[in-house]
Amino acid sequence: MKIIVVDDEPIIADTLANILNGEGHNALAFSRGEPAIRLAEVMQPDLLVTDVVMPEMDGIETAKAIRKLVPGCRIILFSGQAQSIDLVSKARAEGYFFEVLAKPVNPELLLEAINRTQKDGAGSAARLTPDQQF
Amino acid sequence: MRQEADARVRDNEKRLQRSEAELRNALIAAQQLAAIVESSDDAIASKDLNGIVTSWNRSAERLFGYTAAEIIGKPITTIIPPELYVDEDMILGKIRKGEKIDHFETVRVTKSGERVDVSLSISPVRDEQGRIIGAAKVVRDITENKKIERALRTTEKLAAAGRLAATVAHEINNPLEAVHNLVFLARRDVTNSEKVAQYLEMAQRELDRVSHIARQTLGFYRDTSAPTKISLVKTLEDLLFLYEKRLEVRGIRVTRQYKDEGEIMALAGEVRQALSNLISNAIDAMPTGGSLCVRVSKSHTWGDHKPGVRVTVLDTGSGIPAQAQKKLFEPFFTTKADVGTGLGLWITKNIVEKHGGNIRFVSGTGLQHGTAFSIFLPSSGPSEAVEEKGRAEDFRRAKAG
Repeated sequence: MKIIVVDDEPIIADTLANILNGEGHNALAFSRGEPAIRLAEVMQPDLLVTDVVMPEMDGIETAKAIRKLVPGCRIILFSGQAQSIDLVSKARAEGYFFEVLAKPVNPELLLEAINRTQKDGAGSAARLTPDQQF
Repeated sequence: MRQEADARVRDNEKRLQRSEAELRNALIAAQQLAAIVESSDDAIASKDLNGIVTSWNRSAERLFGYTAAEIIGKPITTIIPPELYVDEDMILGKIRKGEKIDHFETVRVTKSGERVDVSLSISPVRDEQGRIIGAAKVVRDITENKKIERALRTTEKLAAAGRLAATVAHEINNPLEAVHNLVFLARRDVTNSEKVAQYLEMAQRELDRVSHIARQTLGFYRDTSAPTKISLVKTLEDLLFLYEKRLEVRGIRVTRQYKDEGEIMALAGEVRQALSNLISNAIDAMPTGGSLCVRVSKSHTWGDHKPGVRVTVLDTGSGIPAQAQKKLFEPFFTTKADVGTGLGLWITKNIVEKHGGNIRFVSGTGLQHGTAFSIFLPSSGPSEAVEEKGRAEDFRRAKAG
């Protein structure tokens, strides 16, 4: 699976991409939204995993831009900040529905979520346990 | 003769009639006044210069539970809590001098022993010659207002706790996420010891961050230990290490201008927190990068030339708007609605002053925007006297709160 990972903390983006690559995916890490969008146009990713609250362009704006460029791309937001709830509900009001995971996410659970949906068929929302959802 | 006598009688009659009319009018006026006083929603009472109650309206009966018959002739101290008897001396002192007292907020006691928050307005009462013979007081029950005020304060504290929790979540979840990932990678690459060592070292750094944040935000740090000799340069270096990630992520350049090692006697944990708050604020002011300068130099107090060290933290952030500058050191004041607790600078100022130092800042939002905080700490550290004062203030604050 072609995956783009965005987190303003490089250590998180790098380790997550490393984990995904180890599982046989083709993952690339970014610490800002803009270059991720530029690459998405070329790469046509299957999945975007992005942090929500970031300086400059936030995760929601990044996700909206990538969804426009690559409508089939699955999007998972993951965030450790309460502000995200407002941002996500604002996006929902605008008609954008994204899967959301609350940081910290155990990578095993993230992989499970990714694989589960792959089996169930792309596009449908990952079934997350209630405490993982906002 | 007779005519003269008749005229005098008529004159006298007229005068008498006039006096009668005046008296009647005065009586009517007095009755009207009495009716107003009687029906007023505010409790109105009067007392003589010895503090003996001379009148007591119906609202006073309702508020304090004593009937007029019960309290007239008794000392006004009947409704004053014993610890506030000094109030009465102050009030009578002012009244004797002919001064008025407006909206004096205090506490009074009802017949059933219940305490009520009241606002008093007291005016001197004079006789026909203008001599002060007593005082009239209007008492307004402000218990409800006080209740609302207290509720507001509690709400504010809860909101602060909420903001604090949000800050902690924000700061802790990221390093935890990194540790999760690093442990996963260490297990995956378990046969490659070099890689594992690298992952573990990174995980260690992230855990250091979590520990620091927990101490900083949850502790409200109060170390009870005695002052020790510390180096402010070392303290700053430790902090810059801990904030390394945040500085890196935002692209903030750090300049160090250490003209002195900055050795002082101080409560290490508290000084560390004071400096940490300044650096953390500077970082928050520059979300899209900038430059942070930390400076340490020898200095002394203005008046008695007490030697000490000045630490300056400069940022090229957005600057503090003029209207926010006035309230900067107030508790629960924050310009960072989402992440601020509004306690950082208040705590910092308390710590600095406890050490006998001072804190100043300059900030601009214009073309040359940015903020510089400068704290002076004396080499000698917190003296006994300063600590005593600090403790007394804490006590007062605790009582007031």
